[in-house]
Amino acid sequence: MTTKRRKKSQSKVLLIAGMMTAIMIAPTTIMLAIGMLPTIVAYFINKRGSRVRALAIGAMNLAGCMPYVYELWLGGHDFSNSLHIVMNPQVVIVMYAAAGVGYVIDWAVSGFVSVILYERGQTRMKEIEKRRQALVERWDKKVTGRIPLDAHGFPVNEEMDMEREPTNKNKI
Amino acid sequence: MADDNKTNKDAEKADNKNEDKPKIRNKKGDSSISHIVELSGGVQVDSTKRLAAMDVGPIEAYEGFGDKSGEQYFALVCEPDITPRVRASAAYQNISNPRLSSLVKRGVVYWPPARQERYMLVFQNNLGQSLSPADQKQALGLHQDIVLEKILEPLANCLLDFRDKEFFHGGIRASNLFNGGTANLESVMLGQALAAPSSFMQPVLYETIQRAMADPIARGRGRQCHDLYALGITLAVMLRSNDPMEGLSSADIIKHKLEVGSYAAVTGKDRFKGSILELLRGLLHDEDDQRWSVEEMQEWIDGQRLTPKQVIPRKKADRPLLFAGERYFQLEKLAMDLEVNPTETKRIIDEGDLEQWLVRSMNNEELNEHLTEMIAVVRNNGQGAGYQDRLVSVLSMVLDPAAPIRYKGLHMNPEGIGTALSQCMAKKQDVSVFADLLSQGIPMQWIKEQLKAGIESGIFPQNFEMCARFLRKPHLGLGIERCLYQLNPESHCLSEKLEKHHVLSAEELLIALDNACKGGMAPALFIDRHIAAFLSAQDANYIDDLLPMLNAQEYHKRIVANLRCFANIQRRDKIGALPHLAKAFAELMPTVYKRYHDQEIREKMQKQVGKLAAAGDLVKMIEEVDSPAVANKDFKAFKLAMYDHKVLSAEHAELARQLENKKTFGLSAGRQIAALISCGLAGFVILGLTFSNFF
Repeated sequence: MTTKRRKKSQSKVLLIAGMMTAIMIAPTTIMLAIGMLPTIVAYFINKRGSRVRALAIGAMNLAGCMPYVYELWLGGHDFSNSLHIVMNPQVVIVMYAAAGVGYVIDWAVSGFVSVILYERGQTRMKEIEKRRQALVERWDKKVTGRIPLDAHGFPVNEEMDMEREPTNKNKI
Repeated sequence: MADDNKTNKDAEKADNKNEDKPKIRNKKGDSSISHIVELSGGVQVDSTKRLAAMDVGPIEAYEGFGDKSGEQYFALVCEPDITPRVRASAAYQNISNPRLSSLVKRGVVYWPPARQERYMLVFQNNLGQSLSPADQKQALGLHQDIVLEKILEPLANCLLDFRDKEFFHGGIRASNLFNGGTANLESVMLGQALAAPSSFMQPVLYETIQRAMADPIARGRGRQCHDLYALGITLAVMLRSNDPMEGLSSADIIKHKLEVGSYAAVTGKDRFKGSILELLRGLLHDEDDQRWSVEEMQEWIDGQRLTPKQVIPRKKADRPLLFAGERYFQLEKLAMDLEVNPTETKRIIDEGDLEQWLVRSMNNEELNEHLTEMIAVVRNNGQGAGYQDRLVSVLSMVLDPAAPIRYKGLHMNPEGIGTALSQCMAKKQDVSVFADLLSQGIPMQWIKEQLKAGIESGIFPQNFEMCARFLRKPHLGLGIERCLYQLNPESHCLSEKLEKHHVLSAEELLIALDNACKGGMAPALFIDRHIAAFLSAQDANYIDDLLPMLNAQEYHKRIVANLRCFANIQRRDKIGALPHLAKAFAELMPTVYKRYHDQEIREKMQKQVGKLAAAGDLVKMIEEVDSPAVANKDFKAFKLAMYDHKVLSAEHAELARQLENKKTFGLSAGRQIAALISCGLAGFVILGLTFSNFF
């Protein structure tokens, strides 16, 4: 209970701090709000598990935004300058293209890794099958645990078979 | 008692070791079978040359000879159903008396005519001709002085030797006396009686009244007083000119002896004069404890004149008892005939005829009370099947406690039950009568009756108590077979698997089985009811601990128990290699290997057992296949393997589930890596921009 409450209060403090910071650096906030739009869209439209994709897009998107953020900070940090920069279509294209690069990285890397992991999975499956087969060969089918066993680990039915004395033996 | 048994067993083992282990030249199955059986010491027996004159009933005699010395022998080839007196043979071999034929060799040989092993006794053939062949009149009419000098004196010397060696002959009779190859009875020889159970070949005439009542096979071990009685009869037969009992049946001879006493019955109309009367009366006394001893006889021979103890006439009733149309005055005669008509026996009890006769005519109130008590006991044990037989048996032993056990047509002294049972089993006859007899404790009842009547039988009841216990459970190692070997320790093993062998010890058993396996003929399992019982009786340490395993349902346990038992014997008796038996066991082993989970252990074991089997080492074989340490290790490893398999199977199932959707498999991980790359790249760009703008 205490931890949950503490987390809630922590996030509230961070939200308030963030909002205050955003207000304090409002020109930057406006620029980033427009420049990081692909990331925001990616964050909200993708399904569960795709927030990591938003992180990949967002990182590159942010990298695309940073030259203009520095330009704003060095050229005068005010609303007019901010709007002036953002209104330039070339700037927006650069920002959104950087987000696109992030998307491409996500698509390419995740696809590549997925193929590799699938192959590894297949190999592991074969390896497990082989090891199980080796266990069966060494310890017999009873090692699978699918056959009812007695206290000594022998199949109950086999025990019954073994009770029978062969009758085809020659007598002395 | 236990110590006595142990001593006896040790002595028997020592005796068996002293037995000859003849080299058998002729081989079974050989097309050119030799008819000569070659024994150690250059003794040979020709299986084609019969010596019918030396036959002992069904036991045939054959010619034997020394290959170098030229000595003449005769060999008695014992029958499988008639137990020879193995222990007595050892004692006989130690007696040195010129009037006895020397026992040159004894032991088991392969007997070509029967194509199987037989127990053989080889004697020096210096007996000559019988003084009175059995088919001739049993009355020689010899002069008293000749009989005393030529027959009594040498036989008295023999009896003194027998006493010293605690040996019971059991075959002193006129037809078993020989002229020693000389004329005028210069060297009278006494024949042997070792090839069959005690007194087996003795005619009823030569047996005391009580022993004569028993079946020949079941007379049991006798004592010297019985030999002295037989000597008395023999002397009487030599002296008398008429046979008063000629043509009489065995039962009539016994009844005649009961009627008039042995002395009068044997001498009949012959009237002997002088001191020999004392000797005959002393030797033919019907009470065992009143009969002259060998010392008394020797004193008489030395010239001292003794007075035989007075013969007390058997009690007779004032009035007869009518039983099955016959009139009975004597308890003993009535006891003899009760079994002839069990229904009539029941009638005389139910209608009170017997009670009245005992009280009024025999004046024996005490006996009547005891009889009533015993009848009540029999009735309380149930009046269903077998009631009449039990009643007859108990009634018979109460009326005549000195008589043998009478039960369902069998007449046996307790010590003779073993030999009778042995014969019955060897002939594959029904032995249920013996099982009934022993399980109902009739021998123990007989012993109690003897003690009550003040008769010293010298028989301990422990053996019979044990037999009753053996019969309670039908398991291997118990049952009637165990009773057989308990009651007749001289019996060879009667297992069907050893039909062609004559096995008298555990060592011989293993060697016989090894030979039997030589031709690749091996049984499914070796230890059957007879072998288990035989080994248990030989030495409990061989097998008793293994009986639960031998009786187990599981085949593999029985195989292991068979091997362990034989390994015990091989180790304890220091028996050499048994390669054929070991090979036969190796063939049975796959079932045992299967009791190990690990295939590698099985293969290793199989390889090792193969090597040990070739070396014939059963001891190492059992250590290899039945090691608790290996079994424990194997089981633990198996449990670990099961766990591994379970974990792998779970992983396999999870992977299979994930790999079902190829499109999404690994996507999450891929995106995380993509995010990392993206973040890294962006970080470099931002860092670069920061440096270019601010520094």
